[in-house]
Amino acid sequence: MRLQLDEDQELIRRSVRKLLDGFPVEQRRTTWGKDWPRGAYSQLAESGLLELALGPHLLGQPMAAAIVLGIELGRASLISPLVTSVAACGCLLNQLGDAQHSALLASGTSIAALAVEENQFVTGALEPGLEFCKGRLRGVKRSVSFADDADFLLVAARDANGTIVLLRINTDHSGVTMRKLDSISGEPLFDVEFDLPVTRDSICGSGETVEQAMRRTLTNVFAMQSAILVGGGERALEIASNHVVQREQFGQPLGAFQAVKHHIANSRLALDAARLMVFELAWKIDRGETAILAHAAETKLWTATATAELLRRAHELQGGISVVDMHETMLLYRRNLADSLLWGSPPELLPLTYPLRSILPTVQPVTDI
Amino acid sequence: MNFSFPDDTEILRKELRAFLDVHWSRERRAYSMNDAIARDLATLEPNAAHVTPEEVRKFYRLLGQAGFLAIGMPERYGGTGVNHLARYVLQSELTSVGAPYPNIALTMVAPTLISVGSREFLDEHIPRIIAGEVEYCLGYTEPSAGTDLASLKTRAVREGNGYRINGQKLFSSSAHYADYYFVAVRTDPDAAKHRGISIFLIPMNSPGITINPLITNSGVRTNIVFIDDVWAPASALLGEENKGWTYLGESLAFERYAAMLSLPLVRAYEELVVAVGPDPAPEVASKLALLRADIRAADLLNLNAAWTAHDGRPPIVEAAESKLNITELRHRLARLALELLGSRGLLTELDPDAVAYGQFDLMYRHSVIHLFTAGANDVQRDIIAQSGQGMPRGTTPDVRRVAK
Repeated sequence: MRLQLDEDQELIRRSVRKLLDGFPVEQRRTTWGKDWPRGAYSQLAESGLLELALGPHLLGQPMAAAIVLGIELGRASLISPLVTSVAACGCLLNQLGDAQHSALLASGTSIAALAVEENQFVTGALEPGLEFCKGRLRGVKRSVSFADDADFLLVAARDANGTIVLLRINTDHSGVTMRKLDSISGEPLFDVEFDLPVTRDSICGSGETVEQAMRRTLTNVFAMQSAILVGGGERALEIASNHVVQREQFGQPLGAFQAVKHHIANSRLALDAARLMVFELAWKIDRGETAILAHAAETKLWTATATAELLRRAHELQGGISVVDMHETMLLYRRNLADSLLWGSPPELLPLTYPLRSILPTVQPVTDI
Repeated sequence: MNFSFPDDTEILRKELRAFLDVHWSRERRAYSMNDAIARDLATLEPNAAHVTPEEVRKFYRLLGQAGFLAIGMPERYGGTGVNHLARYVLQSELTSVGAPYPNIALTMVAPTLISVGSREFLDEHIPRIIAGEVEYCLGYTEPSAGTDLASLKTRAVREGNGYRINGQKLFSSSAHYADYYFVAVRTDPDAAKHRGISIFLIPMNSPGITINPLITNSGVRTNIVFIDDVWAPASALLGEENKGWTYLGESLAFERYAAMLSLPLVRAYEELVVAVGPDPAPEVASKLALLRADIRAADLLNLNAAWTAHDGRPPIVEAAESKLNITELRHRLARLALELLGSRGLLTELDPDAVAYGQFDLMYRHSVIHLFTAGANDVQRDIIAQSGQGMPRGTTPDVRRVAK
């Protein structure tokens, strides 16, 4: 047993943090919602760090290494296509046997975006309603991250037999129309309308193969998103703690007031639990445990809820200064909201956790992937 | 990170479960509480499901004979040496099925004795603890010294080759079962309040000790203990005179995580899932799912505290987090369980139609006690904020005075 990072994971943590320190918060503040730091993404790619997000065992690195990367990205509230391009599309393609495209995404040479959400993200991924009939794709996918930066989209659809199909659609096709959404999240989001013919070589897979790959991909994405949420919470608590130690009112630091201490303590407890939960998920994934999609959904559900409360407290503790001029807490607050709602919001995740009726591992009733 | 238990603790877990299958009946597993509850309920309401004080003593001896109480004890006395994870497994497995374990002996007395006790103390007490032959109770709280324990007034005055002790203690749970009193007293009234405290270990049958019962909401008995001119030889002083506060702090840092364990919550959740049935309505399933995630978080925090101790570091923040989280979740779990069970939730363990042996009703009434025992939860928050996040020590000033 060891509930601390090992040397390899510490090395990854230090490397990512050093790299991202080169992109200070002032830069992120001025470009928020207008552009994303392509330089940071390129450097992560050049350093070979993007590959970690492909998922466990693909590169001989355990899932815990990807979690370390995710936490650091969350700390930096970094806007990047890593989740959609590598953790989602790269992972999907790899499992469907397209190692070549997967490698291009993991190297940052190419960018892809996962287009699954219809009314909801989870049902859009596992039970898509988008029609792919008679060689033609018609319909709309919502809230597709980085669609305009992507070279291609991976689109979940359903054929005339009701079978799930995964299609690779180039974004420069005339039958693809994008509408950029006016979002607070900082990342480019698009509703994408499809009305185009699709040839056989655009079909990445169908049926049970895609369903299985999609479930594994969702597991990977939920784990990465949970790590990012933990990282954002970690940084927000640091900032709030520093503030209440330095800021004096009534002749003493705010942090000397017991009510303030208790807000800090509640946040610290939630954060420690969330971090343990994410690393335990990674450990379970690496062990090949069953019912792992449900565990991953539970982890994202819990980390999203816990860190949302942490961010709310962070604002309350810092007062007005934290909500003006894109204060870092404000960036983290927005990212926390976006990371909670995108890639499966808490109410969407709940039904995925229902198979986990038991806690005791010896009576685990369900095997899902 | 690696969440696997070491092989030796997994073997221990299997041995314990096999032992409990033989020596702890299914009906008694329903309580998921501790020995104090079971024994006190037996005294108030004799019932086949309630274990008697005599049976608890017998069970301790069985634990001792099987070698389980030697875990964490010095090797010189046949113990395993320090092994926090093994002791975590021992206590978790016992409490999760409602089986008693000598909590105070294992988590407070023995570690303090090992840390500062004389050879004579160790020779007298450790073999008997390992054999399950002796019980202790704590004498900390007083009418005017609760969370601010260092304000205690019970006084020990040197007299000949010993001390004469006078005072009053409150909430000395298990005093009516214990053989010895692990009692904190003031030996230097002129020193700063944290520096004039000493710890004594005195027999409960010493002349001058009077134990009066206080029955709590759950039926558990605690006690007021009057200490009138009790004579204690100098050999009953633990460690050095006036160093008692330090001893308490050192032992608490390592032991708090063990006072409230998460596995009973896991077991209680399993019972609740069975009680609710196989196909709950979506809103019920949602509540169970959220509760399950909370229990998983509590379980990990508890394990983290045990592992930190096992790793040789005082789990100050980790233990405070664990205690705070588990106790608040226990109350929430019990309340939710009762709401899901509806009016059937009001039936006590004595009613044949009680769901899950009435454990949720009992848990609901008893769980409020855990919010302030083993260090009030507000104090745990102070510890987390100060030791974990660098918050300043200090108290809130009189804002009205500052405003003027």
